[in-house]
Amino acid sequence: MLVIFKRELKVKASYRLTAVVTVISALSGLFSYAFLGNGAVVSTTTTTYGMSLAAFLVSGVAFGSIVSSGVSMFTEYAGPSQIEEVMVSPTDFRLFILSSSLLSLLIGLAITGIMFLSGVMLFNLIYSYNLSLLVAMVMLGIFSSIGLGLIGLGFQIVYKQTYFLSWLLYSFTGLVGNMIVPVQILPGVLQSLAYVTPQYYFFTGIRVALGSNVATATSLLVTFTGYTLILLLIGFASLNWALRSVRQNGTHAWS
Amino acid sequence: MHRDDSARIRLRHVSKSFERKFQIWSGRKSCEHRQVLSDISLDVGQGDIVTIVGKNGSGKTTLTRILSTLVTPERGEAIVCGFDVVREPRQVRKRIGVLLNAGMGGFHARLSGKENLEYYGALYQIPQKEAGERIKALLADLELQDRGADQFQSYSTGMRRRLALARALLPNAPVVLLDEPTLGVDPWSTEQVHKLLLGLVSEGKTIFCTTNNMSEAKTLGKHVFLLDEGKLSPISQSEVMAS
Repeated sequence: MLVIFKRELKVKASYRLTAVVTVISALSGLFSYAFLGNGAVVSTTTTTYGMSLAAFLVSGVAFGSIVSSGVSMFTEYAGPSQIEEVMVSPTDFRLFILSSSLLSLLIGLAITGIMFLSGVMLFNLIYSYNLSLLVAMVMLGIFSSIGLGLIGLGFQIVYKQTYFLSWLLYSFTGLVGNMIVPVQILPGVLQSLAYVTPQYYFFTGIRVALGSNVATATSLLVTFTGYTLILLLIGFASLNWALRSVRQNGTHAWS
Repeated sequence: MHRDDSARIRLRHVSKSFERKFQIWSGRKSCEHRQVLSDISLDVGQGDIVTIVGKNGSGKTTLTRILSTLVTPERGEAIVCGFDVVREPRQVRKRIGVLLNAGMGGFHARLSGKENLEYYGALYQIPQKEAGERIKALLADLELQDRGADQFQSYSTGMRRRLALARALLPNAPVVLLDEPTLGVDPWSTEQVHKLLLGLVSEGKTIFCTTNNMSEAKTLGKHVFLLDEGKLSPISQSEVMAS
C-alpha cells in the first residue's frame, strides 16, 4: 500500500505546478464569488454597460463558449495516438489542425446561440443589439481563440501538457477577464491584469455590442484586432518552434 | 515536382543522438546524450527491398522516423526520391507510405476500418473515387474485406496491424517505409503480407523494412542489414539463412 502511495506521490510531484495551480484556482473561484457579492456590482453593470446584472452574467456565460476552449482547442487532434500518422502525410499540419477543429468551433457557436436565446427568453433580458459590432467581436473572439489554441498546441507538443496554460488563461482570467465579474469593481492590481487578457477585450466588446450605453467601440475594436493578430502570429511561431523541437528529440507520441 | 535520382533512398553519414531523460528526483540533469545512429550510409534503388534487423532499441525505429520526416538527423543527409527529408519534407511525404512502430495509432475506435482509411485517403490527398477503389483492393489483399465495415475497436491486434499496413500502402507511394510490419500478426496473415510486399517490389516499389524477426528478414531480404549499437552492417544471404 505504501508503495502505491509513494508511486502516486512521485508522479504527482513530477507535475509540481499542478499543486500550485489547484490552490490558486480555488482562491480565484472564491474571490470571483466574493466580488460578485459586492453591492456595487449592480450599479456598475447598469452604468458602465447599460444592462442588468442578470443580462451581464448571461451574456458572459453564453459567449464564454466561444473562447472557453481556447488553449486546449487543438490538443485532442494532436494527441499521442495520431500525431505521427498525420505528420507523415502530405497534408500540412496546420491545415489539418484547423480543419479538424472547425466542427468544435461551430458547436461552440451553436451553444452560445442556444444559451443566449434561452437566457433572453426565460429571463426576459433586455439588450440593445449592435449586430455588426457583435459579429465583429465574435469573429475576433474566434480568431484570438485560434491564436491561443496554437500556443497551447505548441506547449502540448513540447511539454506534453497544457494544464498550466489553461489555468493561467481560464482559472485566473475567469476572475479578471470581465466574463462574470465586472472589471470595474476589482482592486487596482487585478484591473491592470485584466488588460493583459484577451478575454477582457472580448467580453467588454460583447457588452458594448449588447448594452444600451453606446460606449466608444472603435478603440476597443482596434486594440482587440491588434491583440488577435499578435496572438495568431505568436501561435503560428509557437507551433513551428514546437514542431522543430519535437523533430529534434523525437518525442511526438508520449504514451 | 519530379526529381530524378537513381537511388530512391539515400542515406549519407547519418547520425542521431537523443537527450537522456532521467528518473524523476534522481538529481541528474538532462545534458547527457545517447548515440542512436552513427554514420549510417545506405542506397536503396527502385524495385529493391531492404530489411534492417536489430535488437530492441538498436535504432531501427529512429532510422524509419528519419526517412519519414518525423525526426531530424543530427549529421549527414537522408534523401528520398531525390528530396532531402529536412529541407523538402512535404515533397518526401508525397512519395512515402509509412507504417510506424506504434502504427496502430491514429485510427478512431468508433469508425470502421474502411472509414478510417477514407480519412487517411483525404490526408494523403487521394481523389475520393480512387481512394475508395484502393481501399477495397487493399482490404481484400490483407484479408480484411469481411471486417471493413466493422468498428476499429472490434479488431484484434493482428487486424489492427494489417489495417495500419493498408494505410501505409494506400497512397500507392513509390517508397514504402515499414517498421516491424507483422508485429502481432498471425503466421498465416504474415505469409499473406509478405507475398503482398514482394509483389509490390516486383512492381517497382522500394521497400524499407525493419524487423527483429530473422525469419521475416529471410523471406523478404535480398538485402539484409544489421543495426547494432548505431552501426549498420550488411549480412550475407548465407548468414541470414543460417540465423
